[in-house]
Amino acid sequence: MSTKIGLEIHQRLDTRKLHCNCYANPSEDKADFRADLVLHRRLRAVGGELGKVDVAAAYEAAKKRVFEYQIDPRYSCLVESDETPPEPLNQDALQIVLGVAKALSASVVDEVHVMRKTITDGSAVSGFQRTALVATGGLIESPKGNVGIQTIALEEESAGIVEKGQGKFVYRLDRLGIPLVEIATAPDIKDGEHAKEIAEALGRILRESGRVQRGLGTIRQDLNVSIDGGERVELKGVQDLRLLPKIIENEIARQKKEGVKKGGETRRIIGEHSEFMRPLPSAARIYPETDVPHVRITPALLEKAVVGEKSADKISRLEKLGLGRQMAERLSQAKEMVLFERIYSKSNAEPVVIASVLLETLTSLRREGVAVEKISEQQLVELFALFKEGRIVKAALAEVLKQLPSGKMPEQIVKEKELSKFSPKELDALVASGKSFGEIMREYRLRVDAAELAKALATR
Amino acid sequence: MAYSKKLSEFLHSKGVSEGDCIRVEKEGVVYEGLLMPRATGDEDALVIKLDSGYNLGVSISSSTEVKKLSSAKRAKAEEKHGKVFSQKKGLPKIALVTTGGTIVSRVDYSTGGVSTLTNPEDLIRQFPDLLEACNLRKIVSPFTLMSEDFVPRDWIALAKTVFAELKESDGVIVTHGTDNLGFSAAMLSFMISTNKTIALVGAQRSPDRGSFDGAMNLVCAAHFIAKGKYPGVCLVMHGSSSDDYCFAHKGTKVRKMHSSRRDAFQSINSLPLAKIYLDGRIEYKTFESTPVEEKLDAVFEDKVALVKAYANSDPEFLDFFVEKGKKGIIIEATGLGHVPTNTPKSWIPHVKRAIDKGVFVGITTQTLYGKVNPFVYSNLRKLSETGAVFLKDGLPETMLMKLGWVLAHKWSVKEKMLENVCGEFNERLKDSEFNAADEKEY
Repeated sequence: MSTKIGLEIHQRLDTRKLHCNCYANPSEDKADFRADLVLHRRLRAVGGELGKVDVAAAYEAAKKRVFEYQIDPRYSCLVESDETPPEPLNQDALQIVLGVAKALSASVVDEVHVMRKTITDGSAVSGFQRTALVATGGLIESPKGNVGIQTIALEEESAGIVEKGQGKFVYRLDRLGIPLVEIATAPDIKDGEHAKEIAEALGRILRESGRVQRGLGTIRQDLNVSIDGGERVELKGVQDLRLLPKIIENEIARQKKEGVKKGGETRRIIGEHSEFMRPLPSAARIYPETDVPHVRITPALLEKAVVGEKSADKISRLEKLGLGRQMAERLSQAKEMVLFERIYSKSNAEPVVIASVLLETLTSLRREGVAVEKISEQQLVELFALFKEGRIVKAALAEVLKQLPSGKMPEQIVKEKELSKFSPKELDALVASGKSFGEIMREYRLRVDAAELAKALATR
Repeated sequence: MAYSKKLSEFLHSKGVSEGDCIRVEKEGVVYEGLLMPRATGDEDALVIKLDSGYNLGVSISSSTEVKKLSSAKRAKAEEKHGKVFSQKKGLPKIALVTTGGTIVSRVDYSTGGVSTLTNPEDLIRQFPDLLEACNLRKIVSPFTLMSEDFVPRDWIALAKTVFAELKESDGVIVTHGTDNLGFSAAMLSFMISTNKTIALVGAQRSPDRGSFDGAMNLVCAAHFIAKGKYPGVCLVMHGSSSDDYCFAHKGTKVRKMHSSRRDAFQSINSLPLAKIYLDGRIEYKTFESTPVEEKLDAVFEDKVALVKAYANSDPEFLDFFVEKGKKGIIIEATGLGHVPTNTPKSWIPHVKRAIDKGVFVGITTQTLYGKVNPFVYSNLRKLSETGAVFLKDGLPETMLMKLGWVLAHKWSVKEKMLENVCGEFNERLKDSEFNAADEKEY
């Protein structure tokens, strides 16, 4: 028996949207949808580039459905509503994908052509998803065996569905248009464990760019499985990489028992099993997006490619900054890494302190019920700048952090809550009062640096 | 645009032409697919369509090898549908007049560009839903133009075609590019007097996409002809961004107010005529039908111009048009009808000179909403004293079309320009007619 297994990885990029200037990261900022800001649209089956109505498109349109789209104006604009032409391809996103192509030794095309992939299930308001092939070929290395890369594409994320059934289909527009890098491997994958290993390796390379969105739903894995030279089945939406081996095993068993519909199938993964969604789309589904110019890949553009730092290099760099091995490893893999780098470069505060606040303090504050998601980068930079300047002590950081969700800037909070560090004069006065180290620390923990106090007491 | 001469010659030398399946090898990378024609971009790079459907560009260097794998396969002619114009009882008889524009455009899969559908069968395949809303008598295509390319000859030809088709029909639908659709709506309103409905329709999204908006506009136009019984020219387009309903707008009071939205067309200084749902329901009507004489009066004096006046604008525009022999000029003035007055660049002497030379000068406002008024400010009175005619709440474009039409007759120009010929003036501007932004809160 010859089983063919390939993977398709879709990863959201942390940039503005692919064809407009909106920014959205639904895994971090929850959109607020209002009942009166909705659109109702119908989609028609249309001819593809080769003049045929695509099988998949016709299938969906035949259902004659009305789609509802919810809008939060902070996260979408007329481009997502299909009410104004798209902007040219997002160069920032392209540079990230060029970097991924480089990391996978893929061959970048000379000229990128944005295409329209017909989709009439409602998840694209226009009736198509914009997608562009950026590179072909390449290789991902792994202990169980290297796997070829077939294509690397840059495309638009679809709208997220929130309600379905009874003739009602409700989508949200915040997610629509977020740039996705799509990496399709060759069907070289040997088995489920191998698939898991490759998915993890690709995920690591993507994260190394430092420019991908993190959190639930920001990366998705689809599977292609065929047996005995039969038709291909695309399985969409692997939720948990640990389930990959089981899903593949179940699909092979299912294909043996049920066979595959002519022309192939697209199936939705549910747990370890799958259900039929629609026929496999054909090439007739793709035709040129005439509203945006092609992008010539020049040597200058290739130089700007966002080249990620290898995990090992990142860890040793963090260790040189004074982080312990364990914390360096944790931070290098965490979504907080990008924030860490930005805060460090702007505040120049002690790296260990920044890292422990981002990885530990914020997590424990969240558990205590503090709305840490409302804290802005600007607030954090100012907080660490105050710390660096010696205007607050380390112990006060958490106290200020608790207040930041109010939107107030750290300096104001320090003033209002009387958290500023004692001046040498004030410290001398305390020491002169004759109180012991323990007494002073108990009372003024948030305003006194212990080492400085010990020194002052010693020289008295 | 196509491939460069150099590249074309190279392809020719390899015996390769567009549509062939080819193999391109460059620096160890191989692409196999169809050679596509090039519409835009780098003319020294081949466009190849891979089996997956993706296109990409490969620039040709000395080390590039191109090999033909197989010749172009002509796509099989699509199956002809059965009888296109089947007739059903109870549905209105409608003639469809197509003039071009997005609504009859399609992606030309041989060039990748957008072209115009001219074959009626292709067209009806595009809008099969239309056949459920009317009995389509006939499709006529007097010409195919983007709306910005219309000249008086075309308006006259269009009016004649539409009027001829009205005789045998319950109404006529005209498909038209949207950019200058408002001009044609006004023009036809003056040229044709009828008790039947002439509905102009366009599209803001092209028919190649699933989200094409034109089909609903066409179906709603057919419903309005069947059930609205509106006497005269109207424009039927989306009433909101949703595919829920259309508005019918009076041909003389409608304007494209957005460059791209589906609901770009809005009634200005008047309410829409009716709200039409896709299923044929008509929710309200704001008009009454008074019988008129069926008449075609398709004439136009081309020597007219529309000029915009604003602070620091150059009044010599007017002199230029007078020298060019224009017989009438519409000024799009500011607010209540102001032109620069107490300044070295005052328009007043130039307006006076034009009128003294027998040129009609009409005043409209670039606010579009509201009326012009010659009395409120002294500067307005100075303009009025030159003999310039304040054209009430008439839309600048409608007034331009009307002026061309009026000047082609031996009428008193001022008197006719102020007469309400076909609803171009609203005698009572009402509170509800101005779009209040706070209702939308977008």
